Amino acid sequence: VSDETERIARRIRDAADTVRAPDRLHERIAAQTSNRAPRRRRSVLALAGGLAGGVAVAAVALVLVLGSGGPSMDDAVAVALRTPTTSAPAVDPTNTKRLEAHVGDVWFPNYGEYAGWRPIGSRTDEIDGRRAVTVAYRGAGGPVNYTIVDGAPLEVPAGVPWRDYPRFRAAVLRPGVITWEKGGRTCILAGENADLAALLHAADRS
Amino acid sequence: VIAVAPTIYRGEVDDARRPFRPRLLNPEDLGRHVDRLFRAAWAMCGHPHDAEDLVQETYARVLARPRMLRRDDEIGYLLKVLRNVHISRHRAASVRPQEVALQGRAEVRDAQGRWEPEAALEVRALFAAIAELPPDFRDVVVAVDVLGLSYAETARAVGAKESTVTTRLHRARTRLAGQDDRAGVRSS
Repeated sequence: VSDETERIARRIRDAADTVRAPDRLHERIAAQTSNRAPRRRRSVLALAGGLAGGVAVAAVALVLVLGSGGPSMDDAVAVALRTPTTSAPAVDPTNTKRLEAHVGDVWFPNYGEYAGWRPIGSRTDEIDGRRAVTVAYRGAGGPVNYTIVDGAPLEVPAGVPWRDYPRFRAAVLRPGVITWEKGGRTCILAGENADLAALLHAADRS
Repeated sequence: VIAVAPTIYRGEVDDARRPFRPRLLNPEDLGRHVDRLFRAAWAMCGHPHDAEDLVQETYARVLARPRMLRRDDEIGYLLKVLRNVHISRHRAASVRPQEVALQGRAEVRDAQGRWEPEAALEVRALFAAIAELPPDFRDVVVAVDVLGLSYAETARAVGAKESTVTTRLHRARTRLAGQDDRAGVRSS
């Protein structure tokens, strides 16, 4: 991929990140989707009689408040899947188990030490005012991106369960993409061709 | 890939890689995609005002009846419907008098929600240039660069092979890069 085409791709992504749907559109969609809530919930509301209207209004308000409250995990995953734009950070000479890149107290690991993943590039993005730093690694199974999102941990989408492991817990967001929390921050490993065991192991060793 | 994964992870099954069991689309889950779909709609039609209508019509169409998701890919599904709605609207518009688009303020904000005029100019120019691309090229740029979908998800959304997506994307980006002067898409 030429520099020119990669540059235009980056500009499009950066520009797209600044765009928000107008509030009036959020409100209209919230009203549409709440009207189409699953039938059993509507029947419960119906039993509540006059209270139903108030509950529905509160639900819409809640959707609006939550909907505009910071970046979503989907936004973070989209960032994690992007190609690097700058060179990879060097191995930290004071601690060869990590690279010279970090977000707060969370450092990017040097996977070359034990797994053969070598860092090949990095990028820094902003998601709703939060810094998201990504380091791209390349191993035998293809590229894997490790993203750390600054600020409070992001919520995983509804219906995605957390899985508990001896030293941490993780959630599988989509094929080849997992997330976990470390040092109060959201970490994401994304490798479209990586297998889950490898990603979990890497997360465990991060 | 890591050569020696500890035993505790070896038995882990990636549910996401299992054949997906079709499920009903839950309308309440769709609200979180409004921002991303609005970006896609704007880049597809070239104007934020039309993009609002496009997004609302897309949601109206999706919510009109229960929908079965065959893959766990809500945003890909919404993009597919958005694309169909856009095509329908485009066809309808071509047989009726042209409407004058309203000059509404583009919804380009910084992290604190403040209006960003310079960023708005960049978005307006870039999205207008994307909207002018041939539809096949435009759709992959919208899916990959605007929405952040993977090549596999994009391939499913636009009904093409992944290799075709790669080729179209490269050609589309090359065209956009070449339009810098002619379309007013200035380098930042």
